[in-house]
Amino acid sequence: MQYKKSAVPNHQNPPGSPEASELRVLFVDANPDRAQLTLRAMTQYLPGFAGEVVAGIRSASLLASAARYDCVVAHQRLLDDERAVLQSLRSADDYSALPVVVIADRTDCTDAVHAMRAGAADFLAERTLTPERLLGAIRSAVHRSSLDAALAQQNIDLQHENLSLSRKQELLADSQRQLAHTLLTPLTAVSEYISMVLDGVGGNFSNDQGRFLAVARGRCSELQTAIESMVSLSSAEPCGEQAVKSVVLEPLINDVLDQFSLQAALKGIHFGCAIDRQVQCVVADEYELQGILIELLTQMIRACSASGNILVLAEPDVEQAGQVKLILRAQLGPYGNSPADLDPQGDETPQPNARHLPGGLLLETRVDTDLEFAFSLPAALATA
Amino acid sequence: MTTVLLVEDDRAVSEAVAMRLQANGFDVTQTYDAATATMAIRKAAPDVALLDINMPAGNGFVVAERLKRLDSSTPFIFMTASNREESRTKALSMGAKGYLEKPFSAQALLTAIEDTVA
Repeated sequence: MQYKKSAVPNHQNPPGSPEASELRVLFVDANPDRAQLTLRAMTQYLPGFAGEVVAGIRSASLLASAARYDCVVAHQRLLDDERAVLQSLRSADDYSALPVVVIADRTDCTDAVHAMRAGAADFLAERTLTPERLLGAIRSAVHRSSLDAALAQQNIDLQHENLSLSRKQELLADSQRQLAHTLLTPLTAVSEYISMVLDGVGGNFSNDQGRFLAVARGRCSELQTAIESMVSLSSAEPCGEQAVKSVVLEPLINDVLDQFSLQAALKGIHFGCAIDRQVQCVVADEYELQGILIELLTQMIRACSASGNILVLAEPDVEQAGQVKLILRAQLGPYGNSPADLDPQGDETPQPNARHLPGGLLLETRVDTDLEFAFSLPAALATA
Repeated sequence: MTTVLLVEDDRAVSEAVAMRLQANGFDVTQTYDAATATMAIRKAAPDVALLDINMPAGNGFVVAERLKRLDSSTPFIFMTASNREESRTKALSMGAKGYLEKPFSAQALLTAIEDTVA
């Protein structure tokens, strides 16, 4: 492992994520000596860091279920069948389960995509691995896992709230029915008696009496209209269920990438998308979100196209409850170079650009370098 | 003469409706709750029953069920001051021949009964 000191990307050290001394990590590797080396490097550079090494998946599974670990770091060589292995360490659909960070001995974006799709929380190349980078990936994975749990709890709370709202709505409807009955029943009698007199059921009456009764009948009609309006208003829903319009990011991004695929292929640009979980976002207009993605990718391609082959990976990162950051990262040059190995173009300073969209969506576009574009959007829920 | 069983707990409404029907040639039996309505049905099945839905101690739906058990051929019309859609749906699903929302006009009342009897 090369011990290059390099800055850990900001998104891997989110605020509130655990410190190195607070983490307990399980290292899984077919070559336990290699894993011990990694662990030794981590404890040497990061005081307080604690970990254990196991050689096989079975041992790892037993240890993970028996003891409290915050994260598993698994070497890719162990993962001949990533999906089966990762599922043996964590439930595929249980977002409160143990996060797994995969270390590969080469940077292969196809492997990265496969690993992420199989449920890995992150994917790192061994060649450029540093203790800081690994710690950042672990912290980020643990932080995301805790946010997933928080969002799942938020889901449950929202469901309870919806149930409570439904019950209140039913109570209101019952009250409205009682009100209607109490007001309209006597009015029925009044209207009918007046009508009978005017229809001559009770005998003759004078012109003045007829005029007076006609006025009374007219006011009864007004009263009836007013009561019915009041009853209609009171039966209107005071607040409905909180409806979330689900937009699943991966197919949306894939649709957008497909639109660029032909032209991009002519420039030698290849796309990939690895999102390891569904995220529901609150959007007013799905097409507008798609338009924003197109705009972002257009900017990225313009910035990177002069550099030759690029690969775009999109990954979401739940920063905090209620926010999802989507990172579009480009790898420049031949496959195998990570963005951190290349110098940023020019002297770009971050240019945050916030745009408010209908429905409360806030789109912030930040270009840290020419290589990474990130935007945030609110996430009401994360699916389980 | 067409006989009408009127089941309405509000005395003023019951009197007004009964007078209107009698003035138009109907023979009206007034009852004010489900129990007396059931007794009246057992005594003599009417040609048509006019049933208020919202009544204490047994609503119009209960009376309609008893009516159907005692004489399934007697048609019935519901009256209600509540504009609840569920009531209308339930009334029609029970086989009601008419559904009057209070306050209804004399014409609406007479039309509903004449259409039912015809």
